[in-house]
Amino acid sequence: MEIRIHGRGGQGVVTMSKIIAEAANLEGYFSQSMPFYGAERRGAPVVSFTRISEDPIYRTSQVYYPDILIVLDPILINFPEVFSGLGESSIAVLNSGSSADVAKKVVFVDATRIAIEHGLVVAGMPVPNVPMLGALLSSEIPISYKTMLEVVQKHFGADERIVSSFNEGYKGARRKTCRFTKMHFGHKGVMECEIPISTPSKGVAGRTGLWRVVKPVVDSERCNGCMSCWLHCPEGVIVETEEGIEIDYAYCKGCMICSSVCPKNAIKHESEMGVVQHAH
Amino acid sequence: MIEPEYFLPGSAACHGCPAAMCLRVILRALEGKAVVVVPASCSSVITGVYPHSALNVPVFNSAFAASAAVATGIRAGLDFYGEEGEVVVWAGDGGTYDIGLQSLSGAAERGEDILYICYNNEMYSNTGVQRSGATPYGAWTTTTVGGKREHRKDVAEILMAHNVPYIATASAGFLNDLYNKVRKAREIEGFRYIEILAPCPPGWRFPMDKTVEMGRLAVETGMWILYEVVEGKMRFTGLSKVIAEGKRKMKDIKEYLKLQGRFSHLSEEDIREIERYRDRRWEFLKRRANEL
Repeated sequence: MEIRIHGRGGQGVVTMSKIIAEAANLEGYFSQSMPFYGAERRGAPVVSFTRISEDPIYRTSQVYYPDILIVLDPILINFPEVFSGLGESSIAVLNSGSSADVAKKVVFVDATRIAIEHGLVVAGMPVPNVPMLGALLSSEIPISYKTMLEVVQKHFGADERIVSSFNEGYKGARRKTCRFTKMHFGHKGVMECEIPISTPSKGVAGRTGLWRVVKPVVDSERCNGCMSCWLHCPEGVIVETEEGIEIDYAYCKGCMICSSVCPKNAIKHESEMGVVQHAH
Repeated sequence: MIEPEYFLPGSAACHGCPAAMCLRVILRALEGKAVVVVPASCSSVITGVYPHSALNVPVFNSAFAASAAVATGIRAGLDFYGEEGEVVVWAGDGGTYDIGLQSLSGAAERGEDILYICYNNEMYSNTGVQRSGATPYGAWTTTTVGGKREHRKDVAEILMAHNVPYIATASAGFLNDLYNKVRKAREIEGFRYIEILAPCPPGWRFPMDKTVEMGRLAVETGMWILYEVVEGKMRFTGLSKVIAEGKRKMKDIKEYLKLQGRFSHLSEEDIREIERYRDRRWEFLKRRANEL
């Protein structure tokens, strides 16, 4: 059984992957867990892989055709690339309050809400991995409730918040059979350039607006045009136009430094949580 | 007021990254007329992978230990071809305090005409928070789990012993001050060194929107001291000048420490030790400012 977990740095993707592998091992299976690391970046998309098998595992590649696909971040559900390689029998486990037609069998739970309600928030970011581990038990994973909880407690301690959020994820998970059409993704061509000289371009890390949890919104009534936000923006996404301050949301990561340095308190926080229309 | 951007949006920096913030200001101060040498560090990741670069200026990614030596070579090459432009090293504290110290000292001693800027986040953040020579006493890192037991060293002071024409300290909390110091350094020929305190939200364990506030608190509590040394003459600048002149009292260092998860385990005695260290540093620098 091959599992792929998508999420963002800080949501506990790698830990979740380890816990699944460890629990499977306790159930008597061979297991393997490995993260796909770029550099360690809180907020950036992260992928981790787990394999579970009755026989020793010799394959050490990334998981391209997952049997179970877990998405820890509700925003990522809007990106079809996340679901590449899903087959007819694959199961998608989503952190989402509603289902989406991404696989034939979908398990979903609003783990972000559970994480927030139980105070599983680190540096302003909800960490939904514990309730998602509870929800994962509703997929076809060969791990019992007892074993999973045992490993979760081993990692996070027997804190009441951990146990209750795990249980809420377990009980709150819903299963749905969806309409599913297999997607095909082409491979990018091999670079033909011989001398590795990079050229300046926007978005070297992709459209980093995707990293946002909170969105800064300018209140033009209050703004006095001091441009403190422009000066301090680490990304350079704030521009002054004739109509006032504008933010390039395609690349704004939502660090909210603009808001913290605004002397007029003219930049509001707006939540980015919640699922928008699925992209395909 | 709006000048062109040399640091392009969509970089791979974390939310609220002080390195991205300061580099953007510095490139603007240099009006893009710069060749940037980046050793292994967060910045070599932030600027992206081949075939893209987030910096709209030439960049050379050098080996960890070699940045000042590479900059020396680029400077010589530019001079040979009669090309204008500032050669800037943009290195972290790992590449400055520890791994790059020998090439830095060598280039400073030879008086190479380069601008070396260290963004000091007091740890190896890129590899997931390990201790460096710049990590302060008491700070948690993954390699100082109970808190570091030694005080940090100070490369700006090491550079003073090299008698270079310009040394300055800056903070991510005071970007105008940083801008002015880079402009000033630009006018001076020879080896110039600027060190920026760069509060790292994931590494120091504080919320991502507090980078600027943390950079300001460091100066307000006297934990970071702003000064510059021009041709051997030292003077305090900005808020540190106001503190040095006794016109404003330093804030309680607890205000700075308590906001950071890396200091959350400190005992009262640890805090007193950090305070004593801070006071010793002030004494030392004040004496130095009076002498010179």
